[in-house]
Amino acid sequence: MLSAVALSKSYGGSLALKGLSFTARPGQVIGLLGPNGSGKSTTINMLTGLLHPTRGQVTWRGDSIHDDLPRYQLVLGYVPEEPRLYGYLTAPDYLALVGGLRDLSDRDVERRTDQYLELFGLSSDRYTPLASYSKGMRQKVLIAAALLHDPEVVILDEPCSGLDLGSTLILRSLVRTLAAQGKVIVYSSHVLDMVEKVCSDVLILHQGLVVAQDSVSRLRELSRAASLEEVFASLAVDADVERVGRALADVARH
Amino acid sequence: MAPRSREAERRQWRRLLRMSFGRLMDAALASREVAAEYFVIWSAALLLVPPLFYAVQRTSVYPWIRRRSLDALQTVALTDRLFFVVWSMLAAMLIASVLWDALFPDKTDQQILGVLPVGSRTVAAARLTASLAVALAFIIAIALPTAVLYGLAGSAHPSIGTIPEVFAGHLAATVLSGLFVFCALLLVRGLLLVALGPAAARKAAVLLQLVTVLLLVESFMFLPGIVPGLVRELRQGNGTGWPPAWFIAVYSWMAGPVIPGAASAARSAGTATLGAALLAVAAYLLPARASARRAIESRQENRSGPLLPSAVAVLGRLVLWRSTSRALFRFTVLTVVRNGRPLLVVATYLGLGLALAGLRLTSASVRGRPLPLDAPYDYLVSVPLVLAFSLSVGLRSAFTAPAELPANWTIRLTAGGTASCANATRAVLMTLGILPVSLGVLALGAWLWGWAAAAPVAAMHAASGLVLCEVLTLGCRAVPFACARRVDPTSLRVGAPLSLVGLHVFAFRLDDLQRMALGGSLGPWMYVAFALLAVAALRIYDGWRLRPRDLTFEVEEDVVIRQLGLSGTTG
Repeated sequence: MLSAVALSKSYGGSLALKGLSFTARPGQVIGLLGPNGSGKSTTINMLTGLLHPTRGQVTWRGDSIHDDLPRYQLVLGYVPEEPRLYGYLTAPDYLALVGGLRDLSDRDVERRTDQYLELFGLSSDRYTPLASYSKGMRQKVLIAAALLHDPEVVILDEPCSGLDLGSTLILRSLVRTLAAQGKVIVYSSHVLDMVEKVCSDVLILHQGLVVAQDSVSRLRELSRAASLEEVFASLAVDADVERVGRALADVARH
Repeated sequence: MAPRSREAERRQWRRLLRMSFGRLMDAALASREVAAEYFVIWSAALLLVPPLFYAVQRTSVYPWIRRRSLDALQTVALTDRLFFVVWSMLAAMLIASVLWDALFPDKTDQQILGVLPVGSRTVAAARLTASLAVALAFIIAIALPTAVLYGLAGSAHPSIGTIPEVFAGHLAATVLSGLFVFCALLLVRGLLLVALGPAAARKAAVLLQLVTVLLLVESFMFLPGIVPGLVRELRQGNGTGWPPAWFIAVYSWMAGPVIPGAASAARSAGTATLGAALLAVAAYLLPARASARRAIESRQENRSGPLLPSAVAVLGRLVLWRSTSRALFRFTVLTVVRNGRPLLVVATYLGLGLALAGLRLTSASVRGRPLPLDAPYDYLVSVPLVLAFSLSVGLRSAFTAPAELPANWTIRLTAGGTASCANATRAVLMTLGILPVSLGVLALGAWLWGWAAAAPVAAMHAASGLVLCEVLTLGCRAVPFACARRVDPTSLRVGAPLSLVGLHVFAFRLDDLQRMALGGSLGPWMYVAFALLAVAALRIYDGWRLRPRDLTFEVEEDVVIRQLGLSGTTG
């Protein structure tokens, strides 16, 4: 069970996140929604252990993850928002690095690498450096790297970014299957349709605060909205979108 | 669409020029985290010290020589000038090898600039101008102080010029010679890129780095010895086909003394410099569009075969037990080989090592011995030690420059403890820095002295290398190429003298010990046993010192956060 307990984070006095709490049980997919600057990435980085919270803590099976971070990281799979990889390595080189660092045997890494590359359609590019990969291809490598060690916790930050429609549908099926296998999944995205379809519960962040936290259907009921998009717009979008859109189109014309 | 006006292109060129200076610094620094001002000051200072030292030393020499014959005075003046000209040329070589990577468009450049209404030639022209400006600034920074000092010292007689004449001649000859070499090398690299592609051009950069350092050290040590002979030839009007002679002719034409054929040689200097500059401009501007296109289409060119990763994986399995260490070993070796920048650093150190090895052999022969090779003499034993030391220290130094900081989250999320990191680092140093030299000793020794004599020497060399690797990884808490770095002037001031002491002990004291050990049949194996004991002792000490075993990223947390893009404003 992965829990965030009253998590707060400030950067030099400016508060990025305040009092976020949730518990994710095995098989649960927690959706993390919020506009730009709402604190999503800060939350994700604290859940992975890359950032220390200013207040509160993240616990895994009851213990703070920072008590033994390497042990927690052994059960963690993470797909970051930006596909930042060592560009001079090939996909097998990169997966060998990640697998090796996660203490997997060379044979397991090689076997799983071959399977992932085959399933993601990257076999023909196995000797191409990652710098030459498209964003979607790199995203696939990151997903493979996150799943290589059969993690118990999977944190996905905008995993659909750059993926084509087919791959997005595959990802949706993958997330559901992983949840069915009993993994804890945290899914951060701006693609509300995807979140609505794969997440059991949703947290909506706005200006560093949790403004809604419940199952998708319950949130729809409470907001009397037809879709998650409407719920999100009513809670976390301050701007008059039509007016701003028109103004943006006109900026360069006058 | 209306064609772009000349004025618009000029405005674009000015904007791109400012951007290009930053890019040149990035290429030179190998890391965006290194403070540019330290780099500029230290590199200029390092290049300036030898000629400045020489100029200062000459201030006390000229008053004494002027009392001798005019002929002697003129010979000394020409000798000194040749030294300054050759030094300027070598410094320009070094600057070219550091900067030229930034001259060519890469994929990211093209993705950013390619969609803007900017001509590829405008971009190339801005880069070329920036690199010429940086090179010129460096060359002038080296030439100006020596011109002032040497102008005061070297104007001892009207026949070798008045103070303003020597000052002007010195500036003209050294700046022109430096520019000539810089432009000629840019031209060679540009032609290589066009003809053979980026991979060959990259390899040429590494080779040039090695040759430059080698020549820099050797010229500093040997020029004073060989220059008098060259000057004699010059004074007789010979050797004017040799490039440094052209620039000496410029010097003489402006300040004296009279050299036969100086006017035509000086014309050659001007023509050669102008020609090299024009051809370099043509080599970069004419194929600019094709180079830009190639940067975007580079995907298939960059394919790498399975041989290297497989070989590294097998090697890793042979030398390391833990998979975390093996993963870091593989990552480090692949970064050294494929990233490009580490090889430039290693080439610099190797060039230094080769130069020192050459000096060691020369000093042995200078003592009157014809360098016998029939037994492992001290000078033969010390040469591989020098090479292993320079390679290992070069690798260790290259490890400190981050390869791709934004990708470091991978290591931070998954890395094992410091033990895995230190084991992997030691294994890479041993595999790339020590063992190739030990194997070379074995092969060459077997050919020269037979296997029975070569095996103990190679074993002692490898054992010494083990100790060196252990010393170089003492306190190792940083994964190679995965840590942010800043240049700390203190480490520069302290690190360089420490390296010299280390080199002295490792290469010029251990050779005596090895020679002593070779005196008895058990000696070499006792040497190996002592080395292994030293390794064990160092390992125990390091293990005790490194608790708690946390990896470090060498900078404060807020800086790491910025580098990893984890700031709160990202989402």
